[in-house]
Amino acid sequence: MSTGGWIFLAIIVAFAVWVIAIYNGMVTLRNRFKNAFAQIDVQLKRRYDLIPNLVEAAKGYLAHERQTLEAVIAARGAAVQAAQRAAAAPGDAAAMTGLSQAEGALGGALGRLLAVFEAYPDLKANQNILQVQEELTSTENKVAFARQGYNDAVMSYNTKRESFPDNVVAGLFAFKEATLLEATESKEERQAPKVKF
Amino acid sequence: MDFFQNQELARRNTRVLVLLYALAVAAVVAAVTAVLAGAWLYARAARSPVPPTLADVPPALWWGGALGTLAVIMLVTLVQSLRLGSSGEAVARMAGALPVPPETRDPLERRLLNVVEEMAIAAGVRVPKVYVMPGEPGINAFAAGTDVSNAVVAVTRGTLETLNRDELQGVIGHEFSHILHGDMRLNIRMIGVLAGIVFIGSLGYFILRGAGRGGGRRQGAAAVFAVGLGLFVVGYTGLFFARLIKAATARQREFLADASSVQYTRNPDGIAGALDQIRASARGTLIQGRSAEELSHMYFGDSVKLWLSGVFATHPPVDERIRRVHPGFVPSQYRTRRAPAEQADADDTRRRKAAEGVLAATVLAAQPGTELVGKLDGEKVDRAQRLLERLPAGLREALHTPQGAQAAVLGLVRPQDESTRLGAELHLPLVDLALPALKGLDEAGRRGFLAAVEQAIRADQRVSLHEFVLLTLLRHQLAPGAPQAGRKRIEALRDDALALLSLIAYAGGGDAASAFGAGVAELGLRDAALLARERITPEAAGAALDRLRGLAPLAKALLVKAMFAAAAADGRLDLGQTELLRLAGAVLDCPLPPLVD
Repeated sequence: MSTGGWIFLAIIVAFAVWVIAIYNGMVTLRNRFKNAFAQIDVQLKRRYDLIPNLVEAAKGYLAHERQTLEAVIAARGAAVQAAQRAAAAPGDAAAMTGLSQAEGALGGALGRLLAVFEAYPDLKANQNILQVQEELTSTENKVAFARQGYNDAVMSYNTKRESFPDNVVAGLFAFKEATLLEATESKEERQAPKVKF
Repeated sequence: MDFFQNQELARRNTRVLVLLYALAVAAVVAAVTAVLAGAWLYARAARSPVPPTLADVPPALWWGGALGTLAVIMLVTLVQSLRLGSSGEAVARMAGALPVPPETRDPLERRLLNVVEEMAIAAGVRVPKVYVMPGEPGINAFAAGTDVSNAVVAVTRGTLETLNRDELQGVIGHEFSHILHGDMRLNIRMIGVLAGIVFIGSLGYFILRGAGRGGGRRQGAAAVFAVGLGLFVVGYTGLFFARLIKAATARQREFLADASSVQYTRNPDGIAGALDQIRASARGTLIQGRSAEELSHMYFGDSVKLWLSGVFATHPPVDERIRRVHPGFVPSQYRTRRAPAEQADADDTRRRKAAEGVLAATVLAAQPGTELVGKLDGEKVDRAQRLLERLPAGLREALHTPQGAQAAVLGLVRPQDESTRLGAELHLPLVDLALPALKGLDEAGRRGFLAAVEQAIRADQRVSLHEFVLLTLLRHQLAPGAPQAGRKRIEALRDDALALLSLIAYAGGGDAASAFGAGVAELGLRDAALLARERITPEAAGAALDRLRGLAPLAKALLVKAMFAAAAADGRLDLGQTELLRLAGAVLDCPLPPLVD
């Protein structure tokens, strides 16, 4: 082969390596945001599992706040059902909306429970209640952070997908745009009181 | 600038600095080669009549010198990196940090574990091991480990106690940035290269000393001396600049970590507030442990004070960090609205308030004719306080001093003239008021006081229920036993629970059997029989109560509820029963549930 031929071959190989590098980078980012999405589910599940224990622990001290506790339990039940429906029909718009509404209601009910804790200063001196409150706060944070982490992952994926020259490779291998998770702005959630620690 | 821009800026600056670092290494290599060539020329000039030029230097010396130097630096770098690249756990042990057990009951540690999990979710990395440096009152933290898989996060005890939840989150988010962005790896490599450059300088020093001592041919010795001096100068000049660049890089990584912390928490107040607390606290970020200097580059803030701190500091000044991460931060405003750190014991006012609430409930329930109402509204608390005001003013003052408190409590239990006696319903409230001062006594003082109380109680050869409650409550508060794990179920301590229920059933003075039945029904136990009255001695009841501390929290609440049901079975609460309830609530760490459902 002539020198020119060798140079041509080298350029082809370099180009292929470059494309592979971009492709792999995009696969990494895509898997990262998919994992982040699964993480939201994990945290929601954790929240469902935790709530009965929390309510049980708080019951002894909050007998006269029965309504708040029952609202939390009811909202949890609805959210679990909605999650099952959504799992049965993934991508179904109605099921997803239902899930997001149920989640919003649950978030609101939990927020009110935290506010109830705030209203009873003597409760806050109790170790058990403090612990319950800490777990609740953390659970709510984890759900929020999981959503946020997903959105951050989607953002870096989309940025890479759309910037030059990566967008050429993305178009070549049909990397689809990922959608950001909208805030679940249900009525209850807007009503949820601001809880300060 | 938002945090994404801040991150981008820090990343770009890091790239420039790393490039500079590589250039510095290249310059060192070039300088060493030049020194070698100069020495060759010098040695050659002595032997040849024609002065040699640069062109005469054999190419092998150029190549050999450059490649040899580079090889030496790389070899030392590799050795040093392997030495430093120990797992995060090893580093944490070196810093004297202890792992936080996942099942910890300490509320501050619990919160730390939760915050670390939250930040792991936000940053999208797996949860690292968590360590606490006990006995370090400063506010500081570090992340260590060469890889996400062996990373650890460690914070000082002072951080847990000083910062509130949001601020702690900011600090942990900052540490997660170091983990996620591989700052530990970068740092270890830079330190390794530094050691390589130092090695060249040391080599020069070694040769210098050798040349100074050895005799030999004058010309050759002079050449060797020149090489030594050259290497020495090159090595230490290189070290100076390399250090400067390394410190600048570390500062950029701190900016990146601060900006990333905002990305994870979406709350610039958290990290800025934590930095502000560092500014406000006297101890700042200083670490007392021996390894403070060795690990200084890894900490959240400067762990040691350094000479020429501006250029060699591994961390930017705190003011600058706050300004970058949160330009609109106003410390005076933030400090007034900042949520206080939840402290395990220090939050005195709230505890006192809670104690007053329980106290008021007890006093109210003890009032003849008072409706059994559990809710504490303002009016009832007022009434309780009026009741407390019946205590003589002098007595109330005295309760604040250890001597006065001891005298007052002893006065309660000493048999005395009926007319000077305080109303029995005031005894427990008085003990409550005296407890803070009593707790201030030292170990021996408390033991002596308890012994005196017990002696006074036993002076008349009998222990009333009232005296039993007082003594047990004092014992529990002043000489607490070992903390109990608290996992047992009611069934496991069935006999003790039944003994306690029998005690409270007899305390009513009415139909003990039906009262006992009401309590048992609440507990959900079957085939339970009321204990014979004479079997319930104070010793037995005290021991039973002590064992019941091993119950799980929910079981404790249930037991107190059952005791309440037994006491209220006849529609009224006697003073003795109220006091027993109060005692059980205190010993079982379970506040009195509202008195009616």
